[in-house]
Amino acid sequence: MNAPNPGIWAKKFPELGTDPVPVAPYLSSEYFELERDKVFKKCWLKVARVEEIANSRDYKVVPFEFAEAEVIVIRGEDDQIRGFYNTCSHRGNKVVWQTGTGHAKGGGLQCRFHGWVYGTKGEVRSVPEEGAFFNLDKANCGLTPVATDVWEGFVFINFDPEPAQSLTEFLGAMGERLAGFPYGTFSEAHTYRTVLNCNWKIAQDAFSEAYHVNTIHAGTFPDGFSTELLDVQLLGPHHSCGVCKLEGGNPPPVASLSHRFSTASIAKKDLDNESMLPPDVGNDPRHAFELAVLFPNYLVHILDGMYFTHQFTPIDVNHTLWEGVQYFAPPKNAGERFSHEYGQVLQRNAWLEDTATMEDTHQALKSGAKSQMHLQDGEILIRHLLHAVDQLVNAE
Amino acid sequence: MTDRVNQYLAELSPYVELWALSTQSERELQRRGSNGPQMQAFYDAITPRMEGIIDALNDLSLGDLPDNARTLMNLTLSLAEIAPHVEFYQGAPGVPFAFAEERFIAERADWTQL
Repeated sequence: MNAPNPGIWAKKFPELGTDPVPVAPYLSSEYFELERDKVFKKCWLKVARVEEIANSRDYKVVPFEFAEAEVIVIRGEDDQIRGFYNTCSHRGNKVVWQTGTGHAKGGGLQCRFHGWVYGTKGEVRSVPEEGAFFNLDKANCGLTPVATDVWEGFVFINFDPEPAQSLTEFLGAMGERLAGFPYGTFSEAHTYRTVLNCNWKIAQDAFSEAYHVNTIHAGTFPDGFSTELLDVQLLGPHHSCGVCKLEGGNPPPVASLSHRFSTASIAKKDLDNESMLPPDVGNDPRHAFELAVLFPNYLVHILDGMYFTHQFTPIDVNHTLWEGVQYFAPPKNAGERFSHEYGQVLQRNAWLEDTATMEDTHQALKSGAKSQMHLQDGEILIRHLLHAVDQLVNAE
Repeated sequence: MTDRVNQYLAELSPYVELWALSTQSERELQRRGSNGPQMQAFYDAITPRMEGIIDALNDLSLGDLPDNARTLMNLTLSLAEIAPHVEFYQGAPGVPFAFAEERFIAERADWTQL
């Protein structure tokens, strides 16, 4: 079946061209090193939701293997969220030994090696046997800061000590477009993560088009979505589009029950509530959810009643840490609890179908059989990601 | 309400031991270790009762369910786990044409309850 309006996005965005794209950026170690230094160490990267560190002295430790670094983001007594390298000023041990969320005691973060204690502003508060050091200038012994900022309750860090743009400037028109959705009300988070043996762009590409839904999701969403994209937006390095639902179809009994009890689910149709989407998003009646990519690697999908995200963080050229999260409002009753579980399980299964392609793609490309890939009009977000990465990689 | 909950539990008693599991990871393991007819039998037993079960449970406070209601709730969550396998995957215990399920590490956080 031919897609409707052939070439519509190529006509709208002629600067991206229509040629096949090269395979090398997915496999080349040299290219990856440039991506690491010029993209991932220069761009704002999402590390947390504010709800994860809701209280004073709550923190989260996030590893970034590509940077050989761990970052602590911590909420201060003044409610400010700050970021630091997880590296003690004494002899460089990790201050916090476990990744993930935690809570610092009243004294602050204490390094377990020799007991140096840091406050939430990174300042060193106490040094055991301080008198045994030589002219120790404690004012210069704080944790090394990492640029940290918050947009719509998403906490971002930037490894550039002096980022060229603030987070707001960096997100630009995409930040404005997605602002105002009630992200904070969806406080029930279901997370899946795994390490994928593939390049980060291969993984991200698989979630950046709807061309695959009739094949890959024939099992889980037999009549869920169309391959058509709505309202493609390329805003700086960021991009978004609407993914279309298919009308009709006869949901089987339990799927129907879930719809009936539900407040929200990716599989749900015919919502009659007033939309909670921002004004520029989802105005086509076929709109199922908005697929938005905050460059370089954070996908935010919003729809009425929930949202879900993907993040593809490179480990090295051949390995990627993937984390997918579904965010729901806490269920008010058993029916909603059941419905969330059903929608969440179905989406998990769809993600299992999606991730099944990625390692095979990477492996098959490694054979060297192909030097380029062919992209159709509906794969314009893939073309745009390659373009946006390439611009930074080739910048002086 | 408790009477209705207990009545449903009695009617579904052959399935309680296998399917009244409190975490999604446990339910997923149970599903992967079952076969099509076992999932179908549980599905056939609970699905026609679901409207009534949810109606009975909705009268109770979700955050504070008594043990018997919690058991019944967990049975419905197992239905959510297996329904796609009965309704979409022709009884296959695993998700067909999928990534290795055991490699997905699950984590559930409800920050409002932390």
